[in-house]
Amino acid sequence: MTTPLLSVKGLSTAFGSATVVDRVSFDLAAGEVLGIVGESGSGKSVTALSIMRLIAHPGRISTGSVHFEGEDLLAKPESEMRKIRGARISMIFQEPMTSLNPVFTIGDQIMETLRQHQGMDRAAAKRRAVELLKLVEIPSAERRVDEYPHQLSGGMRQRVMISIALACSPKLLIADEPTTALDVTIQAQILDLLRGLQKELGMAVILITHDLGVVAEFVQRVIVMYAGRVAETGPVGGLFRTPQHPYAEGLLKSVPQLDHVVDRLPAIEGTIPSPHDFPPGCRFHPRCSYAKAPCAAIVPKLIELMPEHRAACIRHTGYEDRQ
Amino acid sequence: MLRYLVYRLLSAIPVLVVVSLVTFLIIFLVPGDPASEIAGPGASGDEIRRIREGLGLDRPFLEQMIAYYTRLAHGDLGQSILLNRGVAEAMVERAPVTLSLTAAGLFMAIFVGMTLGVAAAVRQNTVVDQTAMTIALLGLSVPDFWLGLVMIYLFAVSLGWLPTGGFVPIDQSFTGWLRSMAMPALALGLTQTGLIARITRATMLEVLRQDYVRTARAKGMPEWVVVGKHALTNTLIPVVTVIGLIVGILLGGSLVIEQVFSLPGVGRLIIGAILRRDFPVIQGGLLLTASIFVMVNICVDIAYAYLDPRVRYD
Repeated sequence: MTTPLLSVKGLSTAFGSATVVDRVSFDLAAGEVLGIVGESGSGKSVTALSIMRLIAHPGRISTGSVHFEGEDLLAKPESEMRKIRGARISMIFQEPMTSLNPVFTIGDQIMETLRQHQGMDRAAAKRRAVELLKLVEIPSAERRVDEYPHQLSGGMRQRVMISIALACSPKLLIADEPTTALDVTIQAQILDLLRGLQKELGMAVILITHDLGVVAEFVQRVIVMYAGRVAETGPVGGLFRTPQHPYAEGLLKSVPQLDHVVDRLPAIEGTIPSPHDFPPGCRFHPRCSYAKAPCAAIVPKLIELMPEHRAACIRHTGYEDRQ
Repeated sequence: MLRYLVYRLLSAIPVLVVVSLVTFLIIFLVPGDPASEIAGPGASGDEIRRIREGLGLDRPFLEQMIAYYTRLAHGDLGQSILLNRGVAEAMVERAPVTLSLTAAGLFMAIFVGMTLGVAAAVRQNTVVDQTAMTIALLGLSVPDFWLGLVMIYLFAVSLGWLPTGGFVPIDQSFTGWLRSMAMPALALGLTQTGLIARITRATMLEVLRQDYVRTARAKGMPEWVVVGKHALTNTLIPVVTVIGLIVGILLGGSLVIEQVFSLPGVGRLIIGAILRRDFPVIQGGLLLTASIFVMVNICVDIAYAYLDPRVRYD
C-alpha cells in the first residue's frame, strides 16, 4: 500500500478540560474526496483546524499525529508550517461574507498568497490572480480583481476564497462547510465548481458539512463524527445503504426522501452534549434507542464490519467489549 | 472619492458659519456695556468711548456684523486692545509654539499609544498586556498639570537635564526644540496616550477574532503580516476617528501646559486676553482653534475613506 497523502492518528484537541476532538484517526489518499459529517459541535471544524494547526488559544492539540506527504505536521516549527498552509494544504471557510478582509481588494488578497509562497512579482501575481478568478468562473475577472469584497455577493466571495485556496495548486483542500451560508441555488453552483475543479486539478478534498445531500453527490468516503469521536466511517455508498452506527442511521433517516411520503421527518431525540459534560462510555448512548447498560461504561472502538466500513458501536459485538 | 472629498469640504462651511457667528456674538454676551467692561473700573468716559468706537460698538448691530464678516473675508481678525497690534499677527507669531506642542503631544499619543495597544492585544493576558495597560491607566489617571510640575521638579530643578520652560523654535536649533518640547509634550500627550492604548487594544482584540484574520493565517502569512497588515489596517479605522477628537482635547489642554511650562503660545495669549477682556484676541483665538479642529477632522474623514473602501464607494 502506498503512503497516504494525509494520515491522522489518534488526534485529540482540547479546550481546557474539554476534549473537543477525541482520538480521531483517518487516512486520505491523493486525489481522494472525503466527507466529514456531523451536527454542529461534533468536532468537524476543530479536526480541520487541528490539521492546519490553526487552533486558537486556549485550545491545543493534546495527543496524536498528523502526517502529510510523510512529514509530521505536529512536529514542525511554526515557520515550516506556514510554508505548508495556503500552498500545499489550503482551507476555505463557512462564512464568505466575513472571511475576506474588507479593506483590501480581492486581487490583493489573491496576490498575497502567490507572492508569499511562489515569490512572484506584482505583475506576474496580478496576471495569475485574473487567471484564478477566471478559473472559479467569475465574470469580467479583469475588472473584478480590483474590487473590494463588499462589492461582491456571497457566492462570488466564496468563489474568491476558492481561488485563493487554489492559488498555489495545493495537494489538499479542506472545505469547512463551504456552502452552508449560501442560498440553495448558489450552493449547487459552488458545489459544482468545487467538484469540477477537484476533477480538473486532481487534488484531495476534505469536505466538512452537515448536509448529507452534499456528501452523497461529491465524496467517495465518509466519516461520521459525533461529540468529538468518529462514530462510523466507510465508502459513501455502503454507509448510506447500510449505516451501522445508530447515530449515522438516525442522521440518514432524518433526510427527506423524494420517493416516500411521511407526515413527520424522524429526528434524533435530544441534543449533542456540551464538551464539558460528555457522557461516559459511548457518548451517543443517552440518545440511542439501542442503548443497553454496557454502553454507559465501555468506550466503543471502531470495528470493521464490512470492507473499509467501520462503526464504533458495541451492539455489533453483542454488547461486549471484545477488543 | 472626489465627490466624497467635495462633500466633506462643503459640509465644513456651515460649521464655520456657526463658529464665526458665536464668536461675533460673544462680545454682546457680556452683561452691561462691553466697552466699560473692557476699560475696567476707574476708566474715564473718554477712554470708554474710544474703546467703543474702536470696536465699532457705537454702530447699528447689522452694520457691525457686515463689517465683521467683511474683515474675516479679508483675513483680518481685528486689533488687540491691549497688545496694540493686529490679532492675526499676534496669533501667527505664537502659533508655532502651540502647533509644536500639540503636534508633539499628538505624535506621542499615537505612536506610544498604538504601540502599547497592539502589544497588549497581541500578547493578551501576559505580563506585556498588564504592563501596557498599567501604563495606560496611569496616563489616564494622572492630571497633566500635576505631571508637568512633577517633571519640572525632577528633570529641570533636581537633575538639571532639561530647561524648566521656554520655547526654542525648530529652525533655530532642533535639539533645543526637542529639549524644550520633551516635558510639555509628555505632560500634554500622556492622557491621550492612555486613551489610544486602550482603544487600540480593545479594537485589535476584536479584529484578531475576525474570520479574515483566520483566513490570512490559513494562507500561510507570517504573523507580522497577519497583525501588521490584516489586523492593524482594520484597527486603524476606529482609532483614526478618536485621533480627530483628541486633537481638539490637545488644543484645549495646551492652554494649561503652556502656563505650566511658560511657553509663549496661543493658549497663553488667549488666557491673558480672557483675564483682561481683550475681546478681539478672544474672538481670534476661538476662530483659530475651531478652524484647526474642523480642518483636522476633515483630514480624519479623508484618512477614514482612504482606509475603509466601504466609505469611499458609498
